[in-house]
Amino acid sequence: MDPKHGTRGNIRTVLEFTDVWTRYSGEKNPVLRGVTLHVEEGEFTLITGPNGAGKTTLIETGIGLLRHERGTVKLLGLPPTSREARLKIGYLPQDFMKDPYEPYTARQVVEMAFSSYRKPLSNLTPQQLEAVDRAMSLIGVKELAYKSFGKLSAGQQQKVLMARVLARKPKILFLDEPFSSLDHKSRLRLSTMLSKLNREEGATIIMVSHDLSTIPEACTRIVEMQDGKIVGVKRCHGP
Amino acid sequence: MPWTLIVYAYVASALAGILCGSTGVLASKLGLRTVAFSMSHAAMAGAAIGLYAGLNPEAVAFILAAATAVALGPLAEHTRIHSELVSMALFSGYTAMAFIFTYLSPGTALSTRTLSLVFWGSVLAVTPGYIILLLTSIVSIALLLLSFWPQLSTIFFDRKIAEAEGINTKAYIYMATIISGITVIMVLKLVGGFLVFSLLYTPAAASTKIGRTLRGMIASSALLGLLSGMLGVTLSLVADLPVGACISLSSTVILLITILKEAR
Repeated sequence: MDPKHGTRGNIRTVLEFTDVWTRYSGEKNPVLRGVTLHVEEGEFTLITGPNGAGKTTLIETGIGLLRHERGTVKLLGLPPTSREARLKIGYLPQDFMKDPYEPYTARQVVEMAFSSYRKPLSNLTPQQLEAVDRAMSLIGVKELAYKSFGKLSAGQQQKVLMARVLARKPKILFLDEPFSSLDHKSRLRLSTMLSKLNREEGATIIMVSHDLSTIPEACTRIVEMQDGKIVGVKRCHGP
Repeated sequence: MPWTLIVYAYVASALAGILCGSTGVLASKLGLRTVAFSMSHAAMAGAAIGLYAGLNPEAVAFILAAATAVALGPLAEHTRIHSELVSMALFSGYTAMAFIFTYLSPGTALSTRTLSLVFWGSVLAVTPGYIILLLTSIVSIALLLLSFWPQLSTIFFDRKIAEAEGINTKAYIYMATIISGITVIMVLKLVGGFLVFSLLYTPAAASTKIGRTLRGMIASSALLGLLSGMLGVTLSLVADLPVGACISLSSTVILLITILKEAR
């Protein structure tokens, strides 16, 4: 294995946790306790477990929003706080709900997908505008484009944020409970779309879900967590 | 009062209103509301230290407030305490220092012109040089906002997502902290340390009832700040009252009007 690039033969490790411990500031007990996990390029990994198992902490440590105190975390072979790595990811946080007075339209929120790439005083490129349109159509939120984001329902807000993730065309998607506010029909639609994205475009997907009633078809493995540790890994479908 | 001084007072209060109104939205959206407290009280403590030590009070006030603006972000980062809490702790410490050094200062410290300027503000402090400084601050801040608008509005929306998507949120928060610091320092002479935050946040609060977009909120907050400044100076001149208190009172009345208008 090439430690610099995290490659093993032709397979590239895009997310690497080696004996990782994470503790929230001021807390006595760590939330992640010696987690070791390797996610390969093109994998669709579902992380599950009860409340407080450390699923969200795992995601947030993986993208550098939380600092780990022990162990090694690499995102695309780089430190998880590296801008270069972060430009290639899409992130959907858990339980996102904005107050009704947020002064943004749904489309403006999706357009923010490209803010990290923009130079001072520059406008969105025609390609970026097209990517925004396409992502909103794909998720089915185009009719909400000029509505106030804060006044949308929790499910609609979640869909708009999902469109923002897709507009970036990320190499890795970190999705924290993406189905939590969606109705059954929307769950199935998103599930199918994620499977398509994984299979046809080779996107790596790391998805947290405590509810296993909707497992996307393309899901390759389920990682079970409990008390900050990985307690089991199994295949998503079949025996 | 000479008419030139009256004109200067109106121009300066209008500019201070624009500066505070727009910065207030920026600071409140980024969770930097208490920064103004620590900065203005740093200036008051600085003025008191200056008087006590026989140094130039205005210079010490400026240095301490500027140092607070620059140090606040890294201090919060290093101590892992939220910047709002660090700011409030500094605010309390600076208030105590302002009182102690004023008390210890020789002679009639409270009646000195400099201390009253920093504490209460005065139209007498307005000079053409001060107006040019205010104007330069407005233009510089407007240029910064325009240049980094996509990144800033993304952070306003959600800092966590912005950071995950590769925006250096810390750098922008530090920049906003320094902008807020500059604004407070610039406006201090006119409005005074006790009331500068009312001109920062009251127009910003009123703008949430008017602006439908973020740009609209900043523009309306700047406009309401300008109105507060002009009305405040008028009230101050007519009733012979302290200008800082009059500007603050005007901004509160404007906020009440916007709330009542929305309620109808």
